[in-house]
Amino acid sequence: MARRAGPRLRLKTRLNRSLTGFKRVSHRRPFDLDGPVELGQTAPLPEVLYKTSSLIKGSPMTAPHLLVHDRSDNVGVVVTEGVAAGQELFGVVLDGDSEFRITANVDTPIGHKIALRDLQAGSDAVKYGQVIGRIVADVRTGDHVHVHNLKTKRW
Amino acid sequence: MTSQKIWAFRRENGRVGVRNYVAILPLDDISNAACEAVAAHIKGTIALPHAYGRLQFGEDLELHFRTMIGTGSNPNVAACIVIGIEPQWTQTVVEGIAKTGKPVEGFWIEGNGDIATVAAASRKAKEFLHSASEKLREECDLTELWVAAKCGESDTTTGLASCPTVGNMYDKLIPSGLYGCFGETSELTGAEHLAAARAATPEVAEKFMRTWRAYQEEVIDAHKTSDLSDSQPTKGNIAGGLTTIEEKALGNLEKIGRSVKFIDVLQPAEAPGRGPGLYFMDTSSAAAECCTLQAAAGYVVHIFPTGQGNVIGNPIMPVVKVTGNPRTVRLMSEHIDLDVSGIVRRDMTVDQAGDLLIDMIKRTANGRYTAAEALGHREFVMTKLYRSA
Repeated sequence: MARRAGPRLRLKTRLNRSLTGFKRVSHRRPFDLDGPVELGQTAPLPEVLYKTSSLIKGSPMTAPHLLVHDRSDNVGVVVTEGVAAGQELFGVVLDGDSEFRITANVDTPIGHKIALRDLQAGSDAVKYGQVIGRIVADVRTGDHVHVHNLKTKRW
Repeated sequence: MTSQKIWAFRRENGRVGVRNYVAILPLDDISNAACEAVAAHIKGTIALPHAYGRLQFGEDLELHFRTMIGTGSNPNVAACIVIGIEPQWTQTVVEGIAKTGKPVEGFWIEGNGDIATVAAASRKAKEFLHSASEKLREECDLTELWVAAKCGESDTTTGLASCPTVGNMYDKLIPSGLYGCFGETSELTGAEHLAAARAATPEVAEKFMRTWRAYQEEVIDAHKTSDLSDSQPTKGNIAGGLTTIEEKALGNLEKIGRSVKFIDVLQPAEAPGRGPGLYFMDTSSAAAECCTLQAAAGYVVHIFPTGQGNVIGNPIMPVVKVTGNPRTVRLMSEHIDLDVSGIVRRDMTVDQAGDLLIDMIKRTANGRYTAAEALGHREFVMTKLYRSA
């Protein structure tokens, strides 16, 4: 890797150190942060850093469509744009880092929730391992869960 | 981690500021015009117009004075001009600010008129400006900073990425002496039991629960006309995928990290009094009100995690925007100081994002303009508890 003086070198050093747990892959494909990356700017991360996403788990992985906070959650969050009805989604449970697949029943915007299992009206919706409200209309696995079928238990 | 030093302004009372304002502070609404005239006349000063200050009484008046005095006393303010309609309350604010040891002088309009007041205040403001502009930054410790946090236009990515990033920063810096602050009493509803469990002592937990219950009873139950579903979550929250207040609160609470405990519960705009550590402040969840109160309590940098893209700023305290929503990064990049959307792509760990945020705090402290500063966001909004007399 080319070494340069100045701020960019410091950035490189720091990022490399923060990823030292992933030496095996970083040796195979060393970092090259000579691209237009500045911390705090909104330029996309260089592709090589993207690839290190897999390093968090130690196996090759594409970016997930769906993230789940806790193993006991019955809803997950869509984290990519353009999720469409019938699409098979790749999900990750952050608590324990397990992977799963689920099919979206309807187009679901980024940030919105999808049911991980069938939920009956009157049951609790669980996220972060905590109750976030009451299901008010029967929900099937893969359905969009939002204000039309989930209500607060407070005020 | 790289150096934990920053270049900042050491004030007369030992506190560390990261900006160097000469503030022109109106005591009341009708003194805004004179303050704005002074700020227009003397370049490099800043007027802080607001809507209140007349005929307030009781707890509401105390909060008004606390906010005025606290704002002028903030270490980001090098010197302060106070202009009010009459001398007595003006002098109350001047004396409060003078306790910090910084240059402050009051002017009043009754018996003088706007023009003579503006002339006299402008001469003094110019003198303050010359002195402030010669003040040099000194090397200070990062953990001498007081760093507040509040999230806004939240969505589900806030609880996944941007709030945990703030929490990671607090977990790393508070044990070394940083002062932290979170608030938003109403937006902890649904997570209040988890928040109470993060109090340092049972006494602080009880104080927190008393504060939270008082808000439920004295504000929400007293004033609501239906359930609050039309206001909390906000329409922006709902567009972003948040459905209930419980869900919003659980994401909100992610910003106090995993290990740090809060050591006291502050009244709105009350300066922390128990030394370094994390504090909870009883605030509204509206962004400008909360930021204004935290700045008045003495916080000098603000971290603002956002999902859908709140554009808030503050006139005297840099507000650093952090988002983990890739769509917001794509559509509103000019408002975002730190992009941590790598977390939801699994490109970036929360630990790495926390380090990036610490780096951004240092850069902001050293003088980097935030997005909100560059775009001219100076929302200064006083909290008012009830109607004036």
